[in-house]
Amino acid sequence: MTSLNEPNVDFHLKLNQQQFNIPSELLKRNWDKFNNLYTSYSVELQGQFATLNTLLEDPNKDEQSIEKLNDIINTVNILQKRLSQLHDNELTILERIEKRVEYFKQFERFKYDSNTDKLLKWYRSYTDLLIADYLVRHGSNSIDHKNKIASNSGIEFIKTRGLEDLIDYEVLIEANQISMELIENKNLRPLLEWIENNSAHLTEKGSHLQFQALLQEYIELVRCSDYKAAIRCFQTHLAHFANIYPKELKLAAGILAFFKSCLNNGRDDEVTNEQKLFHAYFRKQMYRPHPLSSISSSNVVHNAELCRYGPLLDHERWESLNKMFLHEFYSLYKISYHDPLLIYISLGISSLKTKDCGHTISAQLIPHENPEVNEYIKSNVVNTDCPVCNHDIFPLSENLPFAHHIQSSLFENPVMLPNGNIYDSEKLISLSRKLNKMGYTKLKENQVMDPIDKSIYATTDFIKMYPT
Amino acid sequence: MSTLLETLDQQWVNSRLYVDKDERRTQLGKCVEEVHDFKIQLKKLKAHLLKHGSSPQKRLVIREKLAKSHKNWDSSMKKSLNSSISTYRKFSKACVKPLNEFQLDSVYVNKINPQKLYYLDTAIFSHIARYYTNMAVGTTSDEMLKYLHSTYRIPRSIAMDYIEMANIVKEMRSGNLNTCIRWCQDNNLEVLHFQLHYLNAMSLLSENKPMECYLYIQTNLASTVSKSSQLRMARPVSALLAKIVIGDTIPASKVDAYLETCVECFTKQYCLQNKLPLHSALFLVVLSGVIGFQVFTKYEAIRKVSHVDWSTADELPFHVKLPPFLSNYHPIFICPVLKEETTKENPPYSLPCHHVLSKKSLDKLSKNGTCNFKCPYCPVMSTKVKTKRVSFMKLP
Repeated sequence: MTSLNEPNVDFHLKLNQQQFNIPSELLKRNWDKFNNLYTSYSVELQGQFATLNTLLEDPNKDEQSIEKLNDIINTVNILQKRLSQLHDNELTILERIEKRVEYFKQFERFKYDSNTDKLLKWYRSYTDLLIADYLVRHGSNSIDHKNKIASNSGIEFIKTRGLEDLIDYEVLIEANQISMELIENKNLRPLLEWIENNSAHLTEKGSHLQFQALLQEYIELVRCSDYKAAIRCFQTHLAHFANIYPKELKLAAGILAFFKSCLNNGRDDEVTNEQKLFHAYFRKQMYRPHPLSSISSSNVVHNAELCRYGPLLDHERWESLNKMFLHEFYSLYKISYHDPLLIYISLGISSLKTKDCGHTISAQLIPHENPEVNEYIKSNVVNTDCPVCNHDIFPLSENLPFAHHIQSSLFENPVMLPNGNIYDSEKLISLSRKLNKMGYTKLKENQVMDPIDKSIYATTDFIKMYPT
Repeated sequence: MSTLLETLDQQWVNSRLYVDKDERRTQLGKCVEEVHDFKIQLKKLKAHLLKHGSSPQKRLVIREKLAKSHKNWDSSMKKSLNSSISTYRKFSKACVKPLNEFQLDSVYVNKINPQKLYYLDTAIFSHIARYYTNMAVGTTSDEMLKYLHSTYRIPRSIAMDYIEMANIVKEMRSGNLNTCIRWCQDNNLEVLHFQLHYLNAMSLLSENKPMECYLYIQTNLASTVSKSSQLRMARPVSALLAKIVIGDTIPASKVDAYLETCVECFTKQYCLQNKLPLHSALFLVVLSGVIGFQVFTKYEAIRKVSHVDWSTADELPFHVKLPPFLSNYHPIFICPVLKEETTKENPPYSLPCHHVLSKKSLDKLSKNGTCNFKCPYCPVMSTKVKTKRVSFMKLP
């Protein structure tokens, strides 16, 4: 074990399961594409060969058979090109896996050599990866329309740091893009497309996502009064779900008739409406009983029967749809739902946080007549580099528990001054010497100055303490 | 020894994921080759057909050959495809599944308040500014600051602290140490000053200019080395001189490595001189998180089996052993009676015998100040009046 008490290599691998989960899934998906492509071409070739076969039987159709054979060669040629593209994909993924293994082998070497400097540097790149992951997941994206490649600050960071092989940013940004479209632009298209491409996985899991997304599409059509399209949507997409979600579908159908009344007759006395609303909720607990938001809450509900349509029109549905999507997306690739960076920060803060954190000593300082002394003490003595006390980190530590300590961790030679402050006696003496040397104070040989309240004591006043 | 990494590396990455590791040939690669071979075969048969198409017998042979090679091709494609997917499945089962022993999400019990996340953004800004300002695109400071702002939204005020450092590092990496040497002189940093000159001498020798190197040592390093207190520095210089004498050189990679050491030393010194934190707070927190993770997952595993719950609400139920440089920021006093950390509400008190207890335990021992009590550590008797509130102060 080295001086950092860092976990072993295998533990690090487990912490970074997503670095291997994603490529493993990608390999399988790439294989699926490869296989599908081959199968479809194989069927086509089967047909072509059959025609060629009959053509060859007829000696008069010499030219035609040569032509057919040419066609076949062309088909095979195209197949080869398309397959080798997928094969290149495969090699890229495999290379990533190899680079990642190399990354952890590096760590293994540093750990084996107990090389703390190198280990710290390695952990810095590890931190950078977590930051990159966070930025890619949440950054706002810009799309390069020429190459159709989305980018954001996270990807920029990955590229400047040369971390491309250690993080599957393409996957993360796909989730980010779909989710941003949902939340920011209320655009369902990318989500529906994704659902279609991954329907096998979703049905296997028995996910509600597809139904909820289609339902939302229908609701939006109703909202913009395109009833024809809404009915078409209901018939083609939603009707299959009649057995699984009968209640929701009844509501959805009802909304078509009552949507206008939901919006128009809302204004008379709000309070009683709200009471009715709650009453209705308890009678029919089909959705989460949260207050209706924004537009809908003010004007929906004239009578209690209508208010049950409220949740369908609620804009919070977008939020929950987004959450549902992210859950499905991340579970598909076995990526953690919460941002890894936040998880590490939460654990890190809790491991570090002492009861003293956030209580700055500078507030207790009593100023000295010489401002230089104050300045020196402020920046050199009481200033702590404690990461939890850092002004950006401390607010994050708000709800997090403190570290648990079983032993006191103090300092050598504790002595108490008459004012009750306990210091390391040697450090206190050397501090006073330094202040004298710099000409800030004129202390006598056996005198020290308490840096907090600036009172001066003789070293003979020191009381040796026995804290346990 | 790490078993997972070894399996991943030896058994899979270096063999089983490939048909031939040295050529980086995979099963799918084999498929592509088979398609190619098939195409060539078809072309050959086409040539035959063109040449001998008129003879019915030959036509028959060609027909059969075509059918046969199509059939063979199809079956070998299927075979390769099957072994490809089964390799992946085995890989996933043997290598990837064991990594999923626990879920990262499962230890995320104490959540960070989402309303405070904009503070995290600033922490990220500071992190990037501290370590990577020198990678910002641009030739002038202004361009670099603009780049950092437009790419990461890092405000000028944060990046400003590091821009001088970044410029010096940039110069150092481009082979010009002069600004850094001047900076060292201004700040009286003898050791780094020496290291930089030494680096210059090294690079002269690696460029195969022994005479220049010798003269450089004479003018720039000799005076420092001759000081008797700097024996430590004499050793590398004498090694360099010896290399000159025997006509040896230094590989460029060594010079680069030493340059990085110097950059690291310089940034450290720069932060010290300018009262900037040595490491970004975010980095230290994440590092503590990695170290703590092992205990959290262990606790989570035990909790699952034994149905114990996360006991104390505001304190972790276990101790995380952090390295000294991460655990010495604040003095921690654990009351020896209550075994609790002292706080503002429950501060430490000194007894007349100079043992220290927390206020709560003092109240308990003295029955709220109504009676005398014996110090739990020595025979001295005490009363509450005789105790004195103390505070522990850590000096750097």
